[in-house]
Amino acid sequence: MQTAINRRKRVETDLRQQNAALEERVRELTAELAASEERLRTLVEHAPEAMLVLDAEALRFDNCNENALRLFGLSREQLLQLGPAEISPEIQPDGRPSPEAARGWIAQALAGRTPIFEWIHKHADGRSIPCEVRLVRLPAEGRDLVRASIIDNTEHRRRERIQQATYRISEAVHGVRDLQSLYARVHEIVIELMPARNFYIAIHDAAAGLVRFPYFVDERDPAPAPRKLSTGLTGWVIRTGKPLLVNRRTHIQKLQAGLAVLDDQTTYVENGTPAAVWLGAPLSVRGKTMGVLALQDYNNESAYGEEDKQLLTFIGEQTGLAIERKQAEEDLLKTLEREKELGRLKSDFVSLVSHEFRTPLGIIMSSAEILRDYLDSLEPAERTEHLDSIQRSTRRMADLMEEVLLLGMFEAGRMDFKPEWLDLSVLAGRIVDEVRSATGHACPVRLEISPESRHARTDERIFRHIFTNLLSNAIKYSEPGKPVHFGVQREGTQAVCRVCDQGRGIPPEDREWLFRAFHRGRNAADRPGTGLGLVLVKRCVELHGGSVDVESSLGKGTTITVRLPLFAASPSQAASTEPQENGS
Amino acid sequence: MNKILVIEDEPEMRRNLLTILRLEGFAAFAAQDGGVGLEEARRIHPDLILCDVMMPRLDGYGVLAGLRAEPQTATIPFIFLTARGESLTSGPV
Repeated sequence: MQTAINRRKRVETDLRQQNAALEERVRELTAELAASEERLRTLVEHAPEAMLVLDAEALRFDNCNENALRLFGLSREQLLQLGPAEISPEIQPDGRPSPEAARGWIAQALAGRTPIFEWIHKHADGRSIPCEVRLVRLPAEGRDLVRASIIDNTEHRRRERIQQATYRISEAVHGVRDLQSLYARVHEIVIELMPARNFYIAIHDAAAGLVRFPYFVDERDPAPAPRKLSTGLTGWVIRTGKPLLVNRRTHIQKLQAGLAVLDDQTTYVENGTPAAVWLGAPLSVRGKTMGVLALQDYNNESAYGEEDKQLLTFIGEQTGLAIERKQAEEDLLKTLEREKELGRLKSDFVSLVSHEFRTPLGIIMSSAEILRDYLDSLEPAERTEHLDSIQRSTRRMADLMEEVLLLGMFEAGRMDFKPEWLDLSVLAGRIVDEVRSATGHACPVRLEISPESRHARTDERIFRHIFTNLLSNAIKYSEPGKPVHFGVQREGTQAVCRVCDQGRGIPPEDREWLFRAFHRGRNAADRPGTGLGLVLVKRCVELHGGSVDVESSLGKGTTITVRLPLFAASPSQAASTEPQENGS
Repeated sequence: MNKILVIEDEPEMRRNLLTILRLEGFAAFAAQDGGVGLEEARRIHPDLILCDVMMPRLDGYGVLAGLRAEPQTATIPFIFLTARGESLTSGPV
């Protein structure tokens, strides 16, 4: 009996000991499990990516790490109320609705695959987050759990887009014909990066002190005219060389709170309709701001964010460089074109001049030849005719030489302009007398100078050249005896001088060529002329700061109006600046 | 008598050429521009044509092309008149 009791006690002791050992083992295992869990938690918590555990049946998140909360801008309580569709935009870039697309990927993970794919998520503030997502099914008794590991690709994408934009802008410089096409190309590139229905490029022409708008696409307003550097938003960006993102509502709030983002001188409205949001970036070349790239939206005040500002700033830098290069290219082409045009004009001129000299030269030579070889066979009248021809042609060559030399002086910029106060009626009277005697008093000339036009300031040589030419022309192309009128009237500081004839007139088709060297009216061939007279008249008038107009009616006559600034601004000023007359 | 047609727009030059040709015993005819020159060539069928190169409207090259286009006038000997010293090689002959 005793032994039975002892044996039982021993067994009990053993059992207790075994129990204790077992309990010890359980404690050890529990601690180990806790440590393992802690390790796992730390692993998940400190993973660089955002991690979420999804209950695939309920489509609700079951767990997540801190990075996930940061990525979506939500608290743990908020996030664990949601599922994948609620932290995504409605539609994915491939066009599928987010819930449907998400279900597809989750089904793959539940089937034992480990899908890796690109996904757009949505931050609590509404902006999109381009991501790379990996899904894997978690072992769990009786539950469908899927782990999502999410990498934020925003920065990566941004760099990609910037790189692409840079490449495309520098490519555009070579691909487009001119600056205007470059502006349009930049607009196209911006459109692919952000909303850009209202987009303009402003260029600051520092030399002229003007801001021009060479490219302006806007749903509300037409392109503004060039204007002085304004106190508006464009002006702010040009002055500071900094990008600017403002929206009307917060601008007004801050203004009221005395926290203006812009300085006092800057008004919010840039141009026409005030935009709900305005984004501008400087166009800069080597630290110098040459203009502004600007975007505006009239309705959606959150159309642009900080990311767009950074992106547009970068595009501004690239565009600045591109514009500079294209401008240099265009300037070079223009210079080359001008050079070519000048070269062409010069060779045209030389061939025209040589032809104009050859004609009288040919007449002189042939007439001289006839007189020498056939003198005996010629009637006395014919001999005189040939001698006259020689004399006329010689004079024509001398006149032509004179005019070509004068034109050469204009071309070389060596024509002096030395105005002096003089009595216009005396000068005009002398010119009329000279022209009448040179033309054999063929036509009467009526001179009419209003009394207030008498005291005028002009360069006598230039004035003489203009009106000798015009009066000679008027007489040359009028029938003998037809009157010619030469009138001068004063209009403010301007002398309006009219030379009016009742001659044959200038055919309409010749009028636009009138001031071209060696062009003569088609009805002028029977009168000698060099085709340089009116060219020189125009040059003289321009040198005098005036203008010349032609009115003509075929068969009825021609009126040439020359406006010259011959008078002082007011009579009192005239008196003070006018030197004492020397009584000539 | 050999007939020579002179096509020349400059009146004095035309007169001098006609004078020389007549004094040398040719039957000389004149036209004051290219268009009239072509008509005269068809009408009088000259043995030789002397023609100025530079003329307003229809120039010497135009006259030559017009003559060559018609069988009746295509074979008439044709001499371009230019002021002395002018090189013809520069023009489209």
